Amino acid sequence: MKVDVHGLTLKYGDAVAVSDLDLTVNEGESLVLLGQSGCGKTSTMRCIAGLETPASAVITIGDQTVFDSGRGINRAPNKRNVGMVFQSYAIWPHMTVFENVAFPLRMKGRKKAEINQAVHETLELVGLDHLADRGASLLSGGQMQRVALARSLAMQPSVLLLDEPLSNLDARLRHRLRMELRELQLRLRLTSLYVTHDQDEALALADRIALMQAGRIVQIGEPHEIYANPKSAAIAEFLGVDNVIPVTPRDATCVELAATGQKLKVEPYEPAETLRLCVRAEDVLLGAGGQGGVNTLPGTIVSFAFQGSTVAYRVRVGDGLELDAVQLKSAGRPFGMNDAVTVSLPAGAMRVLPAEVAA
Amino acid sequence: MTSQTAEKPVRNRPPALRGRARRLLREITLPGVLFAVLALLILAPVALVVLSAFASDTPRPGNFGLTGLTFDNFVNVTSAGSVKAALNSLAVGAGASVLALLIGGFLAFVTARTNVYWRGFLYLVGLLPMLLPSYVGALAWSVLGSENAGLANITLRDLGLPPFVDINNIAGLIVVLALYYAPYAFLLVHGALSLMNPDLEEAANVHGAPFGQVLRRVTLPLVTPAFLGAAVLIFVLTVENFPVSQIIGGAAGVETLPTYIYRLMNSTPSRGNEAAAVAIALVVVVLVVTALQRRMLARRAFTTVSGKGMKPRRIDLGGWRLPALLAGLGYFVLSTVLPVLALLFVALHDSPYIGTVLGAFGKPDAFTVEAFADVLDSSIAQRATVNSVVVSLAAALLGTLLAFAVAYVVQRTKLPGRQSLEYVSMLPLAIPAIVLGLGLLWTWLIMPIPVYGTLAVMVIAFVAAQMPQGFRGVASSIGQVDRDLEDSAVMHGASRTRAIATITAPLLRVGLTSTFLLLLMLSMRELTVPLFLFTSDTRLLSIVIFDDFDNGILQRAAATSLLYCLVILALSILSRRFGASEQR
Repeated sequence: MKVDVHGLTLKYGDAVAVSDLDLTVNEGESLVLLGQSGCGKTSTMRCIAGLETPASAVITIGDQTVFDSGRGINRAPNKRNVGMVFQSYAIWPHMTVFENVAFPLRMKGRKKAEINQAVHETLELVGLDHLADRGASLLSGGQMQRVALARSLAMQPSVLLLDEPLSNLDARLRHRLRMELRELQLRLRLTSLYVTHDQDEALALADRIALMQAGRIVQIGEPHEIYANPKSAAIAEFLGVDNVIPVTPRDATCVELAATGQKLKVEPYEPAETLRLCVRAEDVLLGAGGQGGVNTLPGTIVSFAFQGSTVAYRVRVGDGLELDAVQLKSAGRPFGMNDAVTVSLPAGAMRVLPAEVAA
Repeated sequence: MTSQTAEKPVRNRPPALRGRARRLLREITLPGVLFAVLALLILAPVALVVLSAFASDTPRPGNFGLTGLTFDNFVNVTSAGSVKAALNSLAVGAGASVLALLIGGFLAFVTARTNVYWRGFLYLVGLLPMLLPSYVGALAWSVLGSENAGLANITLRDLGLPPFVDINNIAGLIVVLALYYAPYAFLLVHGALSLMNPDLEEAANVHGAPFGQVLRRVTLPLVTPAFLGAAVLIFVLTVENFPVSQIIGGAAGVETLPTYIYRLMNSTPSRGNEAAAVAIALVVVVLVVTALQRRMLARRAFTTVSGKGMKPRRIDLGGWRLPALLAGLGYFVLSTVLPVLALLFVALHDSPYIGTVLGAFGKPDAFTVEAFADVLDSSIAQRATVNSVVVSLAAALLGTLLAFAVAYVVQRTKLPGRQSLEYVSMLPLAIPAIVLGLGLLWTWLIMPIPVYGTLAVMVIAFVAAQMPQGFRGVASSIGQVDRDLEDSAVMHGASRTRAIATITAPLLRVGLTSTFLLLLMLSMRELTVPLFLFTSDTRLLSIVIFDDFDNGILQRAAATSLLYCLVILALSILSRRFGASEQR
C-alpha cells in the first residue's frame, strides 16, 4: 500500500535526527533510502514502523493514518501491519525456523492448518523449506537473512521495511542475495522501503532512490537519473565520483581550476557560491606526453595500481592537484612511475555542481 | 478508523495538547508506580534516618519523630566515644583494604599470569572464603585466637610452646576482615588480568620493552582501575561491617561506627536519634571514598577488556613456583582450614570447656555429635531454618521481579524518569547495612500496614537491601539480548507485553535464574539488615548463630554455623552452574 510521510521531525533530546521530511512510497514501488551512517535514514524507517515517536509528523499507510502528532494519533507498531527485516535479522534463537516464520500468523490468530501452509509456501519462496525444523541459532548469516525475509513476507505486510539487510554478509553472498531480493521484489510487487549506505545496492534494488544527508532528503529520483545527474558535488562524491575539484567560474561555459589556474571548457552550469568540477576516473583520458590543448593538461604519473581488467593511475597536473584516472588494460601500453602524460577531460563527461544542495 | 477521532468535537483546547497530555499520562504511569515502590522500599528508610538525626524523638507508631528539631545529636556524635569509634573504623577499613588487596592481588597475579604449581587449586583458594559468611569466619577465629581460651594457644601450650596468638585487638580485627574480603580483590583483579587484550602487552614487547618493563609500564597501569575499584569496595564493606567488629572487637573493647550504632540502639533507653546521627557520619565516610574513586578514574579512559577471553602469556616463576604455592596455601589454611577445623572441634567436643586440644584426641569419648543433634532437634533452629528459607525464597523472587521491571524500563524504554529509577535502585550500595536496617525498622514501625514483627517485613528489608545486586544482574543480561529481537516481535503483530512474555523473558531465562539464585544466597547470608527487625518468632538462621554466640552457647553456634555453611555451599554450586556472579 502507499506510504505517505509528511513533515517528519525526530529529535533525540536536543539533537535533530530527521527534520521536516516529506516522503511518498507509491503502491508496489521499491524505494531506497540512501545515505551515510547518521544521516537519519534508519530513524525515518523506524518512525514509519512505529518504533520511534517523532516530535511531529503525519504518517499514513494505505488509507490509515498511523501517526499524527496534531491529532494525537499513534498506532502501536503491532497494529500497523508493517513487515521489517532488521539489520541484525533479530531471528529468535529459542525458536525453530518454522516457529519464527509462523509467529506473525499466530499473532493474527490464524488457524493451524492455514499457518502450516502459509509458512511452508513462504519458506519455499526463499528456498529454505528444508530447514523448517532447524533451531534458529544454528543458521548461517545468509540463511538468517532469508528467514527474516520470510517472516516478514508471511504476514503479508502493507509495506515491507528493510534495514541494511545485506550489510552483515560477505561480498559474494551479498551480491547473490541482492539479485534474489530484486527478483522477489519484482515478482511480488510489494511496496517496500529499503535503507542502505551502499550505492551499488541502492542502484540495483531501487525503483526510486531518495538520497539523505543530515536528516533531510537532498535528491530523489530513478537510479539512472541520480547516477547521471547528481544535484551536488557531495552527492556525486557519495555516488562514487572520484575527482571532485574546486573551481572558480569564468563564464557560462568556462571554469578555472582553483589550484592551478588552468581553464577548462565545460557544459553550461548553474551558478553557485562554491563550485566543484566532478568527473569519474573512467572518463579521464590519458595519452603519451605532448603539448596541452583545449581541456588537455600535461601531467606526471605519481602512482598506479593494477586492478585486473583496468589500471588505476594517479596523475599530478600541477601544484596541489592530482587526478584519478582508470584505463582499460586493452587501451595500450601501461604507463610507469614518473611518466609524462597528457590528461584529456571531455567537456561532455564533466559536470560543474554546487558543493552542497542548498537547504 | 482513526479518522473518527479527528471528527469528534474538541472542547476548547487544541487537539494537539490533549493528545500530548494523554500520551504523557500514559507514559508516566509505569515509571511512576515503580518509583513509588522504590521510594517506599529505599528512600523512606533513608529519609527517616536523616530526619531522626535532627530530631529529639525517634519514629514510632503514630509519631513520625519530627518533633523537636535539634542539632544535639550531632553534638553527642562528637563525643570522645564516637570519635574513637570513627577513628577505629577508618583504621580498620584502611588496614583491612590494604591487606586484602595484597592477598587478593597476589593470588590473582599468580593464578592469572604465572606458572605457579597447582594453579587451578589456588584459583579455588581465592574464591572459597566467599562461601564463609564473614561472621562465621569471625566466630571461628574468636574460638581460635583469643588470648587465653583460644584453641591456637591451647595447642601451642600442649606442644610446650609459648602462646602468642591474640586476635582480640584492632590488628586482629583487621586480619580477620582482610582474610574474608580478600576474595573480592582476587575476583576483580583476576578478571582484569585475564581479560586484558594480550595485544597491548605484545605491542609494548615489540616496541622494545623487556618483560619486566611491560609489566610495570603496561600491565600494572591497566589493572589500576580494578585495583582501585577493589580497594574502594573492600574499604566500604569493611567499614560498614557489623558482625566481625562485634564478635572480634567486642571482646577487646574496640568499637567501630557500626557497633557503636548497635550499642546506642540497644542501650536502655534506646538512643535512636544519636544512632541516626552516627549513621549519617558513616554514610558520609562511604560517600566520600566512593566520590574520590570516581574522580581518580574519571581522568583517564581504561578500555582494556577485550571480552574475547584470549589466552594471556604466563610468566615463568622459576625457583619461585614453590614459595608462591606455599604462600597461597598459607592463606588457605588461615582463611578456611583452621576456622572450619576449629568449628568442628568445638561442635564435636563433649564439653564447652577445653583444656587441651591434642589431648582430646587421645581421650575416649572426647567427641560427640550431641551438638549437631541438639541443633537438628531444637525448635528454635528448625523454626529459624524455615524462616530463613521462606524469607530468602520470597525476597529473591520478588527482588528479581522488581529488578526486571525496573531494569526493563531503564534500559529498553525512553519513559520519563527512568534515570532516577536507576539511581534509587543503586542507592543501597552507599548505605551501610546497619543504617538501612535502622531506617527500615522505623519505616515499618510507623507504617499503618501491620507488617512489623512478621516475616513480611524481613522480605521487604531484603528486597530493599539487595536491589542493587538484582538490578545489576538483570540489567546486564537485558543488555546482552539484542533489542531488535523484541522489536521484531512487535513488528510482526505481538503487543509489547506479549513480545516481552514470548521473546524477551524466555531469552533472559538464564540471566533471571542466576539473579534469583544470587539474591537467594545473599538473603541466606545476611545478618545485619534483619538485626533490628527480628522478633522471637521471626528469627533467621544468621540471627540464631549470632545470638547463640552472644549468649556464650558456643557449641551450638559452631554446629549451626557448619550446617549453615553446607546450605550456602550447595546454593552457590547451584548458582555457579547458572553462571551467577557474586557482586557483593
